[in-house]
Amino acid sequence: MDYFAQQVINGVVLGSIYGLIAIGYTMVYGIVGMINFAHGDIFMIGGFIALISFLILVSLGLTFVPVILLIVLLVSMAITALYGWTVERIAYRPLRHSFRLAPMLSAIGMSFVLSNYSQVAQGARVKPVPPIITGGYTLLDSNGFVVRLSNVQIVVVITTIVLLAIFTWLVSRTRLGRDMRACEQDQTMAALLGVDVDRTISMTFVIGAALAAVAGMMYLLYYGLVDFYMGFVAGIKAFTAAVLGGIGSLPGAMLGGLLIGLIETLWSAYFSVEYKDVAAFSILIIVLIFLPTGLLGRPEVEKV
Amino acid sequence: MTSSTSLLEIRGLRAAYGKIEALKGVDIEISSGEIVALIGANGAGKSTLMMTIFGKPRARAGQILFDGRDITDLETHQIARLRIAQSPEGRRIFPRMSVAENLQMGADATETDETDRAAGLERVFTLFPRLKERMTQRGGTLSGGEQQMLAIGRALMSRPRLLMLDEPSLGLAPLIARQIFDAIRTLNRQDGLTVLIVEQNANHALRLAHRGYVMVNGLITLSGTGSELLQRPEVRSAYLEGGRHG
Repeated sequence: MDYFAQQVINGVVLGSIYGLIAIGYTMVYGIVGMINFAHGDIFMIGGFIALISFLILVSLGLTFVPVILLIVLLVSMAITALYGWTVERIAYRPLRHSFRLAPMLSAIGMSFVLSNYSQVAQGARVKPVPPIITGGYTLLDSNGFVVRLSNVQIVVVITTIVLLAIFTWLVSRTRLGRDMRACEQDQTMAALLGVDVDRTISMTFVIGAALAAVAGMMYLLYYGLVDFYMGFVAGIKAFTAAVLGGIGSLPGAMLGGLLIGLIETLWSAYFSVEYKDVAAFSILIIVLIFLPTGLLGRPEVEKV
Repeated sequence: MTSSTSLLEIRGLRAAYGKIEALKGVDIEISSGEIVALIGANGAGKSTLMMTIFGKPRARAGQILFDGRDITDLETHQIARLRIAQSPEGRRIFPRMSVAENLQMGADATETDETDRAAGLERVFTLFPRLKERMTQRGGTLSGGEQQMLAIGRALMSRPRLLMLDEPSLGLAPLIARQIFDAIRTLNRQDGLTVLIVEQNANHALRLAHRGYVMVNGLITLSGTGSELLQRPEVRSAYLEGGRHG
């Protein structure tokens, strides 16, 4: 039971990171109907920018951790968002009225471009950082098995919750959010009502990239390393999460992320670490057999 | 009949979907405060004309002037921001937004002032009290008639200078259709709203309108006042006789 509790804590933390990335996939799919295969690499870029800005701040002599973290968070969100905006602008927008596969192929190409660019610019080796947030709480101590909740885990989960709350407010209450939903439902009608569709799509990429940057920074804090290849696996996992939750559904992406995180950690805990990916993807296949549109996806019948 | 008060002026407009030419040189003029009806058979190009005014599809030739300004090459959203509103073919309600949000979408681009918005909402409720009861309901769950009211209400929320209605009576019970026509007349008389209305129900439309145009195969073949057109034998035989209204 103690062991289980510990694994659930770990799973929720991992799931938060997946969920933040999954939102970017699901949002872009909802609005332009394409899978942004470069999104995992945007997450990787976010991790690198977090690392670089962290090192710069430390070398400038800053020592107060909360301030460092806040600056790193904002800087990596801003710069990664710029990457997301640029990728859409140069690789997807020119192909928007082309055949359906074109933007997807372009996205796969963009994924290679971003990971190779990081490899060339930052080197191929894993970049470790010393633990930035240390300490934690012991929740339970029975028969020598300790259930711990570390401060890093608390930071990851709380940051995720806060950002999701802001994001939900943005989508459901602001004009930008309304425009995004309108474009998702009927782009032509949105334009007839004065919505700048291109700008709204750009903003979707910007927001998705900013959330992926947060995930990248959380990954850096939690695992203490980044490398140019980390976007690939994390991207595929987060994409799986988005599909599992129902692609196009924002709560679905978060739920899917959480589930994939939990499945992975629990499987590793009780069965074998080597097969954790098999477990995650198998669950996806099983769910899709019975619920083809995912857990919270809506069936495609709603046409007026 | 060029006049200085002309709000919308279309000259030699051509548009096509791929290789199929839908508009083959259309000339239309609408003065401020007028209701103008555009009638014609299915596939004559009436809806295409309304969409081409918004740049979807783009005009291949010709000119669209709004209030003296050439808007032929503007982006769709820029045209909408000039307060040209459309209740399009198929209504195109946002199905997963509430009625309230659908109406907000109509106001967002042009009505930034909160009191203007509230006033606009009141105007819509006065015309279509039914919408007030449905505010929190999703657009996709409304009945056909309610969706039509919502589409028109949404278009009105931008406080348009030109309102374009594509088949507002399509698929509606006669009583509701009459309600909608009454609402259009009221808006025109009270607020001086300029309206371009596309209808298959030529009888209704021409009675409502000050002037009308008849469209056949992408060309305007006849024009005149509503009552003139109602008397024309070719209009009677093509669009009135044999129909419900005989």
